[in-house]
Amino acid sequence: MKVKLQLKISKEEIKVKNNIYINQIFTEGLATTFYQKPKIFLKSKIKNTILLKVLNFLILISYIIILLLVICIIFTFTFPL
Amino acid sequence: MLEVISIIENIGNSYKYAKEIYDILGLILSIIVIHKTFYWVIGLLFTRKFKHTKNYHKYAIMIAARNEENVIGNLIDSIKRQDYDQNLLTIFVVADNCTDNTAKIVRDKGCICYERFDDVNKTKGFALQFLVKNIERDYGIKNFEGYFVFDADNLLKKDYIARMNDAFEEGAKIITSYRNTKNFDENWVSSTYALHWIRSIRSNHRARSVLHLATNIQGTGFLFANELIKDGWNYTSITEDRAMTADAVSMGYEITYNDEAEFYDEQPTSLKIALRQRLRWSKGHLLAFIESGPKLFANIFIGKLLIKDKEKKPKKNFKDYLNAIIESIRHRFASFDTLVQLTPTSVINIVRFLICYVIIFSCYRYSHGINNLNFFAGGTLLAKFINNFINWRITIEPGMNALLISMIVVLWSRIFYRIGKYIENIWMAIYLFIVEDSRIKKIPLRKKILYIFTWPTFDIIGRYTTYLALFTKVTWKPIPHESKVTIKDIEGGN
Repeated sequence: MKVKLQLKISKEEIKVKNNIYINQIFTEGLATTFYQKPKIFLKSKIKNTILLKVLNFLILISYIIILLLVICIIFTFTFPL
Repeated sequence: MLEVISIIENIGNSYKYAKEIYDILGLILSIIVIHKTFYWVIGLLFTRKFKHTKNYHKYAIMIAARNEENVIGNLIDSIKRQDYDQNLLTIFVVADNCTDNTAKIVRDKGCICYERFDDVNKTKGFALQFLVKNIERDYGIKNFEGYFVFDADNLLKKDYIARMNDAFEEGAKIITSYRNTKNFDENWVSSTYALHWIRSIRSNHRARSVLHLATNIQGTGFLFANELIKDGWNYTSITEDRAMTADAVSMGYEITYNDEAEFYDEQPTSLKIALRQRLRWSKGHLLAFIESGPKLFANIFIGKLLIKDKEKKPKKNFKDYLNAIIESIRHRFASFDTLVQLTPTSVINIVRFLICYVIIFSCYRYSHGINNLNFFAGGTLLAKFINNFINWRITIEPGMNALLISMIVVLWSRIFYRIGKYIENIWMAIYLFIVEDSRIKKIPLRKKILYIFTWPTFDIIGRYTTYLALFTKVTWKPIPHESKVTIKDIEGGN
């Protein structure tokens, strides 16, 4: 029983850690400039919730494209072969 | 004369074999650094986070100072301003060969100061060794759970020690931190250093911390557990940080990085001082490779076989065996990674280039002549761009002219390749300015553009100081620090 309980806790801890890593993609580094700031800007300008949701989704897509583009640049300039 | 020609022809005849060796060596050097590309990608996205804790540990703070009266007071103030129980912090300063008021300032601020005068053993490593001996004598090493090391020109953010304590509480034994720059925009020299530290974070520290490997200690702004100096401070070379990193990795330690713990450092602004410092780093780098390289290389194959001090946990079940295998792989890869970092690849590259191309290829051209040789050759983007517009080809009959012109063209192609690489490296500065926008101090756009273009000089200087370090005797000389910036100026508030 005790062992099972410990396993449960460790699984939850793993889940929390994974969430921390996923959150980092959308809150730090490139995300501050290309995801967070545009979202905050739109929120201050647009009151229509549906339009805001659509635009937020577009920002998310654009951010992911920028992220992939930066990863491509990293590979172009640092991959040694 | 005939003998000389015969020698040239014989050397030229070995070109095909030399080229094969050249290519194989190049392939090996490329393969061993492939993982660095993935470090860059991990560094773009992730860093290891530590849970904030209220369980505070007792630390000693060690500062080696030589004539640092201008800055030492500001560092001590920033330590006293920490949101951490001050009863758990003891500041130890070694006033090393000081001829100014450093010791007086330290004592006036209520810290413990040991004065050391030694004209022979001048490195920071010897100063820290002296300090550790004194702490052992007067307090005992085990009296403190961990030891911080700072340079006198550092300034700590208010939550620096609390954040480092988070990592320590989670069991990390050696922890480095985010190195920001006080004088980022003072001039182009300081900006290249500042960008270099950020590059290290993005390209090494973050990924290694996520993967639980061992990142490299960088002179200052790190914490280690007391067990590492139970036999005293043994790193007295001109770059004690590299020696300590290599030693810790050999002993199986993980060296982690805490992105939330941030401190500020003053960078050189004079090119002369920067060159002196870089020459010292290069020499230390080479020495660390010679001293620790064989041990790290052996570790890749034998794992933790020779490590006696580490506790060996009894294996009870499958999970324990699995953990032991993972730990063994981790340790072997960390050893490999540290060895790769210490390997002077630039020296290997220039030697193989000089032998294969400048000598053997040119001799080969003596017999075969130059046939349609591209003047703007090379795999850089610049070469590809220029080849779209200019198509200069060289053809010369066999003979001495072919040999001499081949030598000149080969050397030119190297310079042209480096120019191409210089331009390509600009991407890194743009990338760092964007991803670290929230932490880099606000700088006018025109200055940022200037620093983007001057940034690649950092690696060029490193390349040539490494070549120079092979033939130069380097002594440790202090780097002057004069910045009057305080942590209040940076953070604001009281």
